[in-house]
Amino acid sequence: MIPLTTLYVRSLAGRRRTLALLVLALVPGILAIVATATGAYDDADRFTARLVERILLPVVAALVTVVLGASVIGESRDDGTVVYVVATPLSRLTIVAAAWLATLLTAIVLLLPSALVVVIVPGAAGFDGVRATVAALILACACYAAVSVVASLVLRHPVLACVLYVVLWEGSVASFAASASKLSIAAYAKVVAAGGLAQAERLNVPDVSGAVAVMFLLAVCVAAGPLAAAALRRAEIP
Amino acid sequence: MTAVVLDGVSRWFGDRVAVADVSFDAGPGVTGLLGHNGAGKTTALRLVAGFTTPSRGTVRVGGVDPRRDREIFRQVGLVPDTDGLWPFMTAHAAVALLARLRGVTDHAAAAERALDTVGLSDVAGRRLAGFSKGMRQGVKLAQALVHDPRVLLLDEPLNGLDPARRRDVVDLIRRLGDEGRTVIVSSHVLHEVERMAPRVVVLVNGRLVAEGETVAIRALLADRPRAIRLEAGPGTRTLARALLGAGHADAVRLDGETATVETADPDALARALPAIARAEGVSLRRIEPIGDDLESVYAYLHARARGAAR
Repeated sequence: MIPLTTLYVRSLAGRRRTLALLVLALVPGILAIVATATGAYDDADRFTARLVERILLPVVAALVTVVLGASVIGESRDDGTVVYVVATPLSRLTIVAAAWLATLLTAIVLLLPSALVVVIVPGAAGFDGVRATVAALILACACYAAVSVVASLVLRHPVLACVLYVVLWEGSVASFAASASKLSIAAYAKVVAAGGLAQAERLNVPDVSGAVAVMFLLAVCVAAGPLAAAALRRAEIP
Repeated sequence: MTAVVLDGVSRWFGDRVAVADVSFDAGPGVTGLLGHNGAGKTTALRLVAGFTTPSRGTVRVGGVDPRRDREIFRQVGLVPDTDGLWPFMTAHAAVALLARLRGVTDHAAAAERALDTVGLSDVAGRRLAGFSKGMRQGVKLAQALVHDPRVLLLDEPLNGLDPARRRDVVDLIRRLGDEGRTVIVSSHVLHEVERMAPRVVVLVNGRLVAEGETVAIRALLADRPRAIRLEAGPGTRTLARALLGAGHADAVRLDGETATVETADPDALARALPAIARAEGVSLRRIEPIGDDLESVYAYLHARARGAAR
């Protein structure tokens, strides 16, 4: 699986779209630096928590990861290279697991610097804040990657569909409608992050412990694997 | 065991039938898959590779269903008709990676050998982004050979090759067949298939219309009735009557000063025509064979197959 994951990472890294995603990923970090430099907030804890809960997890991390995940196999189908990968003894599960891992690794490389800046530069979050934010980021990205890899195998326009999912669901409805919070990846990730952020607002998050939130996010990833493998098995290879 | 077997295979996409009730098998040696563009050759190869599921019928490669048994790909090499390769990789890295994914232990050495076989060892370290169409075809062939497969599925492998490289690839494909591998090679050019495949399967509009030794198929095509268009001014009718009388025409259709003459032996007609025209005092203005293009050849085979089926 490692050579295939490496191939997918290199494939993602070589696309212009990834450069645009890097710019997007840097937005929370730039906001933190600018706000800190200009003294734009009174409470550093609250500022950090809001940046993590309102921008980093439900919008930026989600958009970056789903666009990567939707294109990793989707674009290899478009450019014809998927043929070489499926014409190997690798199981379909191995192929989708490699795509998922490549998406996750690429997303983390793009997002982690910005996330660290968000929790470190304002100066209020301690080690717990850094640890919880990084854990929430990794879990959220893992889930978004799993969902978008599945979407890339079952939808005709997966990138567009995934962007709409983030904009309309994770970034909007699920962030504000109470009934939607239990069906949101970002909401569970916010629970994980809130465990280490002193002034977390916990706006519209499910009433579960951090451990349950972690279990939920891991369960989504695990469930997506066989789904994606079955979709790839049924897929028409060009 | 016969390496590749298609039994009553059909594949349709909505209301478009790509392959209809096709049955053939291929064993050691080269089998040509011949047909015009859109005849169903690529779909047939995709079915054999397990890239698409038959709507009806069964496909077996090495006795197993290629959609279910992934291990068969240790024994199958494929050259797709798509042009995609990873532009950021060198030829050697791409071929070695695919060797590794197919379980080759010394994948770097295997990639070197495969690239050498297709004559690309001098550019093995160059990135694929700068490769010409012909060089990319070579890399596609190298990756298909790198794991020493027993079955090779080659979809239009001569596309984009210059004449010298084309000759080399034809020789290579013949050699692979002589080594006892099962090679299915698709093409829409009969004389190309003729040079590498002793056996041919002809598809027209998704249907198998002829199957057998390439020599026999060639003879069948040579023996088919031909049509020739003649223009001889006011003497066209006289000339047509004379050709019918001399037994060089099986049928004649007149349209003003043009005659369409059908004959089973166009060579004999061509030899006799000047003398008959002279004898009748007719000046020939135009002689044009019609129906010698590839589409007409396939249409003839299709019509012949439909006639046999009735």
